Formats: sequence, structure tokens, C-alpha cells
Amino acid sequence: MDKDAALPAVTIKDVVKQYRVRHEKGRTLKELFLRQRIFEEKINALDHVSFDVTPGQTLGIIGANGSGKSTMLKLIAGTSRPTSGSVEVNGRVSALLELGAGFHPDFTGRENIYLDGAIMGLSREVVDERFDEIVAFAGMEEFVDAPAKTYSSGMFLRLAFSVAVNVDPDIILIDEVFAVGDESFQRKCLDRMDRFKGEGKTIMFVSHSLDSIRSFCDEALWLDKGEIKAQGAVDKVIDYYLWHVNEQEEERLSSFKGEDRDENRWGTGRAEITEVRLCGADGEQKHIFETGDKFRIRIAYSDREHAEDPVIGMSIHRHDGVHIFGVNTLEEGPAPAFLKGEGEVWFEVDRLPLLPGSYQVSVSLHNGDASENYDYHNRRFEFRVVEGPDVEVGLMHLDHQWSGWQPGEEKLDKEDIGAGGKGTGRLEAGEAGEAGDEA
Amino acid sequence: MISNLKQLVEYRELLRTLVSKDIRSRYKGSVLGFAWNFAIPLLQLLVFWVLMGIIIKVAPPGDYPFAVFLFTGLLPWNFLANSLNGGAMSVVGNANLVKKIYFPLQVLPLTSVLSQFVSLLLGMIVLFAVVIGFGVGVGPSLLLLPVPFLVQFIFILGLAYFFACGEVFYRDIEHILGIIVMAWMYLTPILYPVGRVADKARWADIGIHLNPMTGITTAYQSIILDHVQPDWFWLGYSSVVAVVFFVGGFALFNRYKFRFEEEV
Repeated sequence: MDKDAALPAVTIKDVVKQYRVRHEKGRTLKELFLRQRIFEEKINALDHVSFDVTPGQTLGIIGANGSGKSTMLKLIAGTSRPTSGSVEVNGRVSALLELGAGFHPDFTGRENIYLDGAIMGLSREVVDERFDEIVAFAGMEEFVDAPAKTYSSGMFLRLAFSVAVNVDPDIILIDEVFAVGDESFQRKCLDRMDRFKGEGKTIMFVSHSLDSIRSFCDEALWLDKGEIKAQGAVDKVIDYYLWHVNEQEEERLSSFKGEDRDENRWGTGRAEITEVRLCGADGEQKHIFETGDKFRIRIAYSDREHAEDPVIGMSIHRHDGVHIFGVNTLEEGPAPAFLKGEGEVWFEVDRLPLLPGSYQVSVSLHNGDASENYDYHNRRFEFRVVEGPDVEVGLMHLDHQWSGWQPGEEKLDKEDIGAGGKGTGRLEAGEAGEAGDEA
Repeated sequence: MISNLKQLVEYRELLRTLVSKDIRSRYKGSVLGFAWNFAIPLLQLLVFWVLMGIIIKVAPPGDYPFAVFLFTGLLPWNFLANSLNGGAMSVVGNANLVKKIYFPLQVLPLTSVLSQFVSLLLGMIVLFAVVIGFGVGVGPSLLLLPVPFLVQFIFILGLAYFFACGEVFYRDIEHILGIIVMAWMYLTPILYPVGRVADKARWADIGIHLNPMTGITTAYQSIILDHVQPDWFWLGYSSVVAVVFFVGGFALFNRYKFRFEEEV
């Protein structure tokens, strides 16, 4: 770590925080007198964690729920003490952990500003001085003399946030508070955070929004089950984290086997689909794709009884049930002769046009006029599409191009834009041109 | 101990704000509002006056109606009962603050006790109005009034710390507290003059005075009603007990306060 600054703003040394989890809540005198121990389990919310935060650093903390992120902030804020190890903090801490914790619903906004300010350690004079700024930041000029119980939840939080950022701290702890408030307020908050950053304040930021961490933090720390998994440059840590999350999901999805019979599989069984495997370009099994990846399904079948006119069909649904695509080998022409005995067929898409989301594949084996189902796997195979390098929204990617024309100019040739390779989306310009061109 | 006390001074701004919040929120939303602070002791007095003066006709120990005697002992007792209730709940009832915001937690029981102390002072205004109204008058002995105030305050504060801490770990306290306070009240010379017990035998005299609230209550009665000096010996005893309880309760509270966040 950077050692040129005199003192780290926060030093966490070998910290363990142990919580007792009781399986029956409530400790009573009976328990005390009878020396009865209700079953207790000890869990380490933080397990021998050490790191430093240099002054002026903006550190993002990421990790799954229950990984110890909030516990970490609590230790730094001082509301909790480590079971062992040490936490040293140099400077005044403002913790935006629970906004408006000190608010009283019967009091007016004005009274609450003073109350919350006092809880956060501001003197009356300082609140007097910053009062207008606090109110203006929250955009609450009209409501400041109304009781807080009449506020909407958004107004409540805006006011609380506004007090919190006016504490003038050296170290700011933020735990997912941007999630509240409307767009304009969120932007205001981020601007304010940028200003803190510019003023050289130390910021520790817990969020599940990796985008905000990426855009806002210099460094990231990934906690997993109370241990530091990675620490360092933001992009590196986030990529590593995402890779790990995908890996876990891959594991979960591949445990979803096609062999078992359940309510989502039916048919006469005269012919069988023996295996369905989703693969990428390399033929390896895969459940997470990016938009534009090669997408292949291997369907293995067995038709020992030589059922008549076997047809293989497949379809894709989005997780909410939207039917996206369906096709079968019959519609594409006569049933291939290879569908006899045992074998496999491949369904291949060169560039998967689906945008991020989760999807389910159904596969069926039936006779030519669909009067008999031999084997039907209804939405039994899941895959997920994650965001690729391009940002597009909606259900699927469309091959497209943009063209433009302004009065006074000669009409632009579509081809010019296409040739520049701009705005054609993820697919190559040539490909898109081909699809879009009338010629 | 010293540094924990120092923090109380450092956070006096918070303390002031919280006490004022406590007092103002108590009757917020009611029609009488702040006037309840006077109305409640006045109505209490009225009830006693009707009961003791008109219906039962209890003979007063001095030159004043029995209701006034009773009221003199009851006001400080209300201070104790309400402070212990409020104090016991002060940490548990502020769970969101305790969990999420760092501040010295020893502020919380002190807040409850201080806000009840303000009620006591307001009640005293009513008491003096009544005392003067019934012709008891005032005397130079009133200059000694801060002494029982101080002793009682320290004593109650110590208990409040003790119960606030206990309540976090054993929620039984809030339920048993009401019974303890009620039984304790009958052991304190509020409903009867201390002489009625103390004059019976030497051991009875010592017995009733072992209750530290006896010395404090009789001090109020002597100073306000009889215009004489309090029984310094027993008030001294109460002060010693008060300091012991305060030191013990405060130390206990501060020893365990870092675990509160996990337990509330």
C-alpha cells in the first residue's frame, strides 16, 4: 500500500468480529438461573481481516450479502467493537449507515435537523450556520416546518442525507444510501461525493452497484464470508468478483440436470432425448453467455424403437414466460434421415442476439404432425446472458445502423456511415450493412 | 470512569438536545401540551386531597393537610419511578441509534433521568403554590433543597445505569421493575410519617432508614413542610449509598456497552 502519507486514515489489523447466533431469541432470567444454554452458534462476521486506508482514498467494498461489509463499517464507525484485533481511525468519521436514525416523526424538519445534527456531533452554532445549506440541498424549503411524519419516505431520507453530508467529516462511510431518492437527488449525492473526493476526504463505500463503485472509487476491496478475497485496482477486483459470481452461478445451473424425470418432462418415451447441453464456441458446457457469443445446444437422442417421423424442436423463453423463439427440424424442411437410432443434433446460433437476462430452453422430440410426444423437456435448461461490452437495452439486439442528414448538406450516403464502422452495434459493419441494405 | 464521564461533558450538546426532545415529545400532539407537566401533579394532589382529606380523613403529622404531606413525598418518588422506567428502556428503546450511530451510550440513561428531573422541578412549582396556598409558607430552610435533589439525582442515575444495562441482556427487568418500585414505595415514608415506624423501636428506626430513599424523602418533608434542617446523619448515609450505586452502575454500564449493539 501507499506509504507516503503520514498516517493511514483507517488501520484494520487482524480483526475478528464474532457474533453469537441464537436459535431461540430472548435471554431471560430463567435461563440465567437454571444455567440453561439455549443452543448458540458462533459465526465470524469478519475473520482475521487486515488492511489500511490511506487518507484521501476512495475505497469501494463489494461482496455478497452477509460477507461482512456492513460489520466492517460499523467497526470503523465505532458502534461495534472487534472481538479481537484492532481498528484505528484517524479523523472524524461520518457514517451514512442508517439515515434519519435520530429523527423523531412528531418533530418538524427544522427540529429534526438540530436533533440529527446533535446526534452526529454538531454543535448548535454549526447547525445554525449550515441550516440553509442543509435545507437547500435536500430541496425541502417548503416543508421544513412540517412534522416529519407527514414527509414521504424520499423526503425523509433526503433531509437525513443532507444533514449527514454537512457534518464535515474526514472519513465518510457510506452503506448503500444512494439507492433511495429520485434520479436528481441521486445525482446530487454523487456530485457531493465527488466534491468530498476533491477535498481529499477518505471515503469508504459499500454498494452492490458495481457501476457506481467502478466510476467512483480508486480502489476496491472484496469481502467474502468475512475474509478479504481481493484488494486493489477497482477494475481488477470487480472483474475478479464477477468472474467468481459467474463461476458460482455456472455451478448452480449445471447442477440442473436433464436426466431426472419431473413434472417438466413428459412424453410417451418411444424415443428419448438423453442429454441436452448448452455450449459455447469451444463445445464446452456453459450457462453464462454474453450478447453476441456463439451459442450452441447439443441434443443427444435415442430412438431404439424407430418411432415414425421423429422431429426435434426447441424453443427459448425468457424467465418471465415471454416466448422468444421456437423452431423444429420439420419446419426447416424434411425430417433429417439421421434421426434414426442414436445420435446427436446441434442447434447453433453464431451470434446470440439476446440481451442480459435469464432464459430457459425447451427441447422436444415428437412425431411429424405433433400428435404424439415422445419426450418433452419443458423449460428445463436455463442459461443467463450477461452484459457484453456494448450497452443496449431491451430483449434483443437488432442489427442496425444510424444515418443522418442536416439541411444545407448533401444527403449523406448510408454507406459512408456503415463504412466508418460507427453505430452499427455489436455486429461487424459489413454484417449489419448486409442485413439493413435494401440492395 | 473518568474518560467516560468526560465524554458526557463533550457530548453535552447532544444531551441537551435529547433531553429537550424527550420533554417536548412527551406531550406532543396533546391539546394541553406542555401544560400537562403542571396538570398531572395538580390532578394527583386533587385525588389525594379528596381521598385523604375528605373521605378517609387521615390526621396529618403537622400543621398542614395530609394531602400536602403525601404530595411532598410523592413528587420525588414519581421522579424515581419514571426515571427507572425510562432509564431501563433508554438503550433498548433507542436500538436504531445504538446500532447505527456512534456516540457515547452513557448519554442515554442520563437523558431519561434529566428529563424526569425537569418534570420534578416543574412539579415543585405546583407544590410550592399549594404549600403557600395552604398557609404553610416558606422559610430559609428551602436553601437546603438542592441537597436532597443532588443526592436523589445521583442515586437514581446509578440505578438507571444499572437497569439500562441489565435490560439489554435480560428483558425481564422491565416487567419486574414496576413491582419493585411499588413495594419499595410502601417501605418509604411517603404515605405515612417516618415517625410512625421509627418511634416504635430502635431496630425499626434503623430498619426503615436503611432504605436510602427514607433519608431523602424525609429531607424533602423537613425542608419543605417543617422548615427544619434534614436529619443529616441519614441523609449522609443516603449520599454514601447514592455514590456507591452511581459508581457501580456507571462502571457496569460502561463495561458492557460495547456489546449493546449486538443485543438490542
